[in-house]
Amino acid sequence: MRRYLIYLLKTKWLQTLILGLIVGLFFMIYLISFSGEFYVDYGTQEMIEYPSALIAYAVLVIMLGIVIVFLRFASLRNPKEVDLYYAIPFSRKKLLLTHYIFGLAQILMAGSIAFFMGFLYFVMYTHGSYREGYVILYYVSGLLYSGFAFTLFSAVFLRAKTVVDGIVFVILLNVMLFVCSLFFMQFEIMPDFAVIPYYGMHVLTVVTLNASIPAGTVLDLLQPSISEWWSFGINMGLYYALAGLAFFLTYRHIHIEKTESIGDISTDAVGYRLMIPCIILFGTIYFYQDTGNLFYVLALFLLMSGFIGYFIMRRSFKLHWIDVILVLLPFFTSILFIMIVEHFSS
Amino acid sequence: MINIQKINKSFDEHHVLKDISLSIKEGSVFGIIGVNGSGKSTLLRLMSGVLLPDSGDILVDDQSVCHTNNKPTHIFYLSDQPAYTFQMTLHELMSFYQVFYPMDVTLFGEILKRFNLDKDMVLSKISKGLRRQCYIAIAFASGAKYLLLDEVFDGLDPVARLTFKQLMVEQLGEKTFILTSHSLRELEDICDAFGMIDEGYFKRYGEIDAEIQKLKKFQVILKDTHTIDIVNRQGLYLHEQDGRILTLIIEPEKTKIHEIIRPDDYHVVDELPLSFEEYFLVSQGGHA
Repeated sequence: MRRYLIYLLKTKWLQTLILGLIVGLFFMIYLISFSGEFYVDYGTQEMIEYPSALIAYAVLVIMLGIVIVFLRFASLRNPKEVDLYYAIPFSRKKLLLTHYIFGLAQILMAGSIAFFMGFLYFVMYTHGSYREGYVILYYVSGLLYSGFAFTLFSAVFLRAKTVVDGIVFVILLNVMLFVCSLFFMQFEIMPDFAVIPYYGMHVLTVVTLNASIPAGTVLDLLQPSISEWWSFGINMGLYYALAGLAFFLTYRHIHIEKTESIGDISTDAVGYRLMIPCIILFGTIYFYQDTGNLFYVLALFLLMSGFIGYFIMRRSFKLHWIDVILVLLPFFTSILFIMIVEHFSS
Repeated sequence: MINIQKINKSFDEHHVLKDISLSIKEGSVFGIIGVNGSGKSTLLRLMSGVLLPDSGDILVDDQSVCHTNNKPTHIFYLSDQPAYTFQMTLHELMSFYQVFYPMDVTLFGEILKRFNLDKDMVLSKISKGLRRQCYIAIAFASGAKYLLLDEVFDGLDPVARLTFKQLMVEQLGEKTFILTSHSLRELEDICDAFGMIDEGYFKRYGEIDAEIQKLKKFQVILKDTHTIDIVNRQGLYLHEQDGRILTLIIEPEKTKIHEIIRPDDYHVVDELPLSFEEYFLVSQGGHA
């Protein structure tokens, strides 16, 4: 495993460098665009606008984590390369673990390059006025979130049978998490915990800011709407546990995975069959509450998107009955839910 | 020694390999033949650990390749569609394999020279045949004792085929070769044993010469040009009449010529050599 890791480090350094430079460039462009709103020194009227310019780093580094999922695991979902990777005298578990560890290493390296490019600009712009604690904590928290995203999305990506389906799974999961959290927050069902995993990123930003800047400054304005830090901790903990469990199950499963199914359509229960119904169910209810007369258009849009999702899954316009049911059932369930809520609220 | 023990493999409803058992001796050249879709590549992919069987096991030097986390380094599998990535050179591909196999870099260079290949050639820019030659060089230099080569002659020109066969001869005894190919003439030259997969089973297997000897091809000169009556018996694989010439392929253990045609109908019978290709065709129920 060590030899393969070293091989990957040696052969993929250019890829890592380019990724770092691209993310760094985007980060710098963002910082330049928001230069007027930088924190210059405490006591001044200038402050970091919410969301902070530096949040862009965390967002970019998470996107980096997602891109690295595709780069590291696409070869294990490509029918042309499967014979090469699974025939080498290296167990599947070791193969997965090595790609995972190297992916984390790439996030660390490319993320560091990007951060220090932005940091350099930040220091130059503020004439050296910066807080080391803030910077270092923020750097660490961004990488932590990227690592989390990489872990969770690696597991989800590997549930797919093709690279394209893997990419769609990752997109669908993000949409699903977002829509579900909107639903739970709208109905105030455990709102502290229902937020999307990235929510913690915002809270963590404020924690790191507050930890490094004296009290009474304008940054107090950045207090998050949810003040209980413990709920933030549980939220983060839950999502990290979810990511860890998902990856652990993938690690255990890959040993008995049917290689011949790679390249087939992805009918995995965790993929299209779970995420599309969830998005339709929670999305329809959310739209009803918040969009007024536009609801019918948006509901139709959701319904059509559901069918398009299954067309993509089947790679055909011929759907199975189960696909149609998985679109219509959550849709009508959500309508029923809306009617019940309306009935009781009136 | 490779020991295949009651392997079963299905793809959805399609039961491709049914209770396949086989032993392949160390140092031998074993050819797996069969029609398209018969399961030749599946068997090689199972032996290499790419696929997992539904039941049964494959032991290589008494070590399972199906149920292990430590796959042995003495097996090298060359797929029928060798993989390559964008802008990867031959040398870079070798470096990848070097991580997992005790590669003999000097031997790799020598084999490339024999194939007239340059280590800096880019895999995506060369032909299918040249890519296969590169993989053959890696296979021989890998230090693996068992080389599983799927459709190895596919895309190779006659010169490359000859070079490959020479390489095999040079390493005969040290390595065990398991090949699949539709080029039965090539297999006949180099294999000392074979297995013919048909409908999920090994329909025929054994040493090529001994198996071919089991069938006989005869040319019969008939007395008349009219179509004669043939008695269809078990052991008669082929009968073709062209004027006064009748060609028969029979299994002498099961039937004799005089049991098929009456001695009054012909003048003379000549025995002709039977090729491996003809053997395969008649075994599959086709025409030689």
